[in-house]
Amino acid sequence: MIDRYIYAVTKELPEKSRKEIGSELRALIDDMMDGMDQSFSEEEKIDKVLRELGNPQELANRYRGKERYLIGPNYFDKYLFVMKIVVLSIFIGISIATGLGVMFSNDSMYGIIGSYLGTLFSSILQGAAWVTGVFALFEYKEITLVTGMEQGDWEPSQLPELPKKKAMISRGESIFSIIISTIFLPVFFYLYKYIGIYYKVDNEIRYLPLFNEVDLAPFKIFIILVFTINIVIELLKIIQGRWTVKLAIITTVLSIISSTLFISILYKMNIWNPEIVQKFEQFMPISFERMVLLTTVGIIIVTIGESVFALYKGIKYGGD
Amino acid sequence: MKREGDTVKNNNDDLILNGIVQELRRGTITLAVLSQLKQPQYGYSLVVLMNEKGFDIEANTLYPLLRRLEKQGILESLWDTDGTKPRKFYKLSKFGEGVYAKLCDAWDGINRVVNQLIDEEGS
Repeated sequence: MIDRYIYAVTKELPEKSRKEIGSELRALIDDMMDGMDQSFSEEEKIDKVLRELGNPQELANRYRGKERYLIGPNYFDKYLFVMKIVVLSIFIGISIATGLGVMFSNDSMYGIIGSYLGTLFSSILQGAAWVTGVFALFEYKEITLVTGMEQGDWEPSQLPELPKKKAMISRGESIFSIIISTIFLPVFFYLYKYIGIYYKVDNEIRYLPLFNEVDLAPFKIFIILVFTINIVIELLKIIQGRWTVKLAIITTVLSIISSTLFISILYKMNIWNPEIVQKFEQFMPISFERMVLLTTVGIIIVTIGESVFALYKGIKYGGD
Repeated sequence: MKREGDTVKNNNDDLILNGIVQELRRGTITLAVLSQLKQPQYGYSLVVLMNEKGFDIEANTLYPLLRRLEKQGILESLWDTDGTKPRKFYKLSKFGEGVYAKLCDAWDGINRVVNQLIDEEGS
């Protein structure tokens, strides 16, 4: 019983202090038992001593010196705030994506509603899990979200300047961007069959799928990654609320990663439907390869533009 | 009827009072413990000693406190393995002695001022 008690206390503590605290507690329990009326039986003594020492969890907390939180008071407000945005964005995104899906699918109404609710449930669950995970990591690593004010000497002059209007990050833009990503993610994921060129022949709508269904499958994971990174970037912006150098660097690195991934997907020639490559070259003045190249250049320019913009704002207005 | 309400109220008042007294005591624990550690003591002997002298402290408060003070360098410790059971002895370190002296001064200061405030009120 004593061993179990000591184990219950020390298992919560840092590895290196376990053994010592363990032997100290053992000696203490022994001493306390010796100090008791000798008319008690051994079991009674143990019972009384352990009760006196109290809940092992509480004792471990005292040794640790601070409470443990998954998401502590420092982060809780921001956590709730971000959670609301994420859940709302997912809700809107999935709803719109399903709406689009309805137009192109022949499923029965029940099937659609069923899959809508299913997707909604699992996506919100997943979004919530991600947000919680990120914040739990912040808590665990004690990463501060707003710098400068929390610890150490404090001077009124150190109060952060009222963010200049130009340094503020538009929350609306970020939310919009998250919603767009949440719409396109399921579209790419489940409805990629329907992405393609639509044309009319004899009053009948036909379409050519853009992608080669079989060969696209292995790239799904990358596509998810690209969208997820973009969502993370926007979340970081919302959390910070204004441009800083740190934020600019982080978003730049992330967007370079996501663009690189995206471009490398584009260049896997076999993801494209060969038919569409042919058709495209039939009707357009440039070759399909050229088109991919142009898209790539476009993506690079946008990425560089965004990064330069972020860094410029960060350096000019960030000040930390 | 009226009496019943009164007891409930009294209980509640007691709780509030107890809370404040606890808070007041909590601040003095460190000072009280340090005062007894000019000679090396192990945890349980210290519990017994302090309770004998009228300062109630429980092992589950004292042990973590001793450890923390050791970490802060105020106490130094030594395992004594000669006896029948191994025991960890704590004692004020050089640094701890300085801290203790200053704490005593601070205590005197607080005591004086608070007593003055209370006395003014009384007279």
